[in-house]
Amino acid sequence: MRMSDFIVRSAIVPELKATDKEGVIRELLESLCRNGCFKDVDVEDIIKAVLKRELLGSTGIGDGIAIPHTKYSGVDKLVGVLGISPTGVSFGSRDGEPVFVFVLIISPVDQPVVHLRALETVSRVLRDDPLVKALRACTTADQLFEQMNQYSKM
Amino acid sequence: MEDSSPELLKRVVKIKNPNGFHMRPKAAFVEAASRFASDVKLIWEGQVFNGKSMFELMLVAAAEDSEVTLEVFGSDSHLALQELEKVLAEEDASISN
Repeated sequence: MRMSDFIVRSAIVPELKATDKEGVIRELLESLCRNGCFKDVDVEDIIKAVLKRELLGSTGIGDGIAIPHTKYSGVDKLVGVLGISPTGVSFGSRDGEPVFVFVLIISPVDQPVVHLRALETVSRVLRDDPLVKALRACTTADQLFEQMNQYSKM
Repeated sequence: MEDSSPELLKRVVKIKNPNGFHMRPKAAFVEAASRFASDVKLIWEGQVFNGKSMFELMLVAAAEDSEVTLEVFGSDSHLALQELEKVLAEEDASISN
């Protein structure tokens, strides 16, 4: 699996405005919604589901990266969005550090293997420090997608 | 009580959670592993991962019914093996994310 298999290019948020956890999740999900990723689904309901998941333990995995996610019955395929915070957001990460790079993932409830693979893919790609630095230096959604894709292929 | 001499212990554990070894069991595993002095490794699909690193465990996409090898080495390896095996074998289907 590659990140480009599920990251929605047009939904990428190169400069997140939100400064807290709920705001970031909302901004990313609203971007997916605007780009037609959710049909007949109330985006507020998905926001609630992702926030509920965060209450069970932060998805901030350290090194300035978070992968907020949930399985959701209203979607029939895996979708994801990349977002960059210029200032960093307190996300309750394991290392206590702010998060700059977010990859939010929504997957169907009946595809646990796809969900696991998506999380693995994101983690594998974002383990690369030079990539994370390069992503943070991008200013447009297209730059972010190309940069991510370049490393994702390796 | 800690064991007296370091010993390398291995155990093959089957993942029973219908959602596989997903993020929350991983976090629980890292937290539990970090409480022990022993080195903790997970071996999955021929690759070795540091059991005390969340970032490394994120690369273990072990599905339900797949097997991982738990390897511990250190002064408290017996106790660590016992505790960590329990975390890995957790099958609570309500923990789904």
